[in-house]
Amino acid sequence: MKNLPTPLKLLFIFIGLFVLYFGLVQIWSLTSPEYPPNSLLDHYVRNAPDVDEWVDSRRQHSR
Amino acid sequence: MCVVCSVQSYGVLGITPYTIGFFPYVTKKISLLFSRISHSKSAEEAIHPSKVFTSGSSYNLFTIFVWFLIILNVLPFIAPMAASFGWYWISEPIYFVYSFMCHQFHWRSLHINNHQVAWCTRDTFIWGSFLAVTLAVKHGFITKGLKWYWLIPFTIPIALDGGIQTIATMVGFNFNEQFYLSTNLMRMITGSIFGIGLGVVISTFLKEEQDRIDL
Repeated sequence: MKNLPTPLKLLFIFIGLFVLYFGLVQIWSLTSPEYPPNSLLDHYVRNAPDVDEWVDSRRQHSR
Repeated sequence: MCVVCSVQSYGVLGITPYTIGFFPYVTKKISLLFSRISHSKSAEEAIHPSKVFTSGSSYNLFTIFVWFLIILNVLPFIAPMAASFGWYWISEPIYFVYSFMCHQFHWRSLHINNHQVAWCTRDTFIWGSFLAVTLAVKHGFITKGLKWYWLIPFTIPIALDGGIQTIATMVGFNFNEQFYLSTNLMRMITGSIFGIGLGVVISTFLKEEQDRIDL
């Protein structure tokens, strides 16, 4: 592993982060039934900002 | 305190998805700081930098930097878990501190137990990749550093993604009408690329400085 060229090592780190991302989204999906991701690839919540109750309930500073 | 080197504040390096300070100036200052510690006294009386914090142990400034990054990356995930258990005395200070580093829009953040992580997806992966590279540097997997100007290609994706989104937000103002809105996947990809570049430049530099002092 240490003998690999640096760009390849960086690529491995990036792939690891990619796996981490999908793991985190999976955790989000499993643990947050009230606020699930839309999908694994594209899951920002498009309509959330307009719903005041959602914003208020999700924004941690206004619990 | 400088959010990157955690050593001393120079007030010029602000790492957010949108800004990068004048990096060469900072590296020079950090270099001066390291040399100042090692040469502040005569050779006989000088305190070796590796023994500044814990005498005789293997802890040194670079190790402290690594632990700073670890804590910085772990705390945002503790906050939503604590909040879900109702331990707001833990979560609220974390959210408050991280609110200075991130916009904390919940629709741009990952969630755990119905509570958002204390900073957005982009920041999560900027600092996560920074930590990953720093750990690789610490354990000798990455030894060759890059010159500061190599940060430019690593910055282009995040500048395009975050920059266009910021402009679109300002122009559209209403979040549902802006012409471009990034996705968490894009935030992760661009943030990771930027963080990896940042880590290779800064961490290898700090490690080299530490090794030079340890010799």
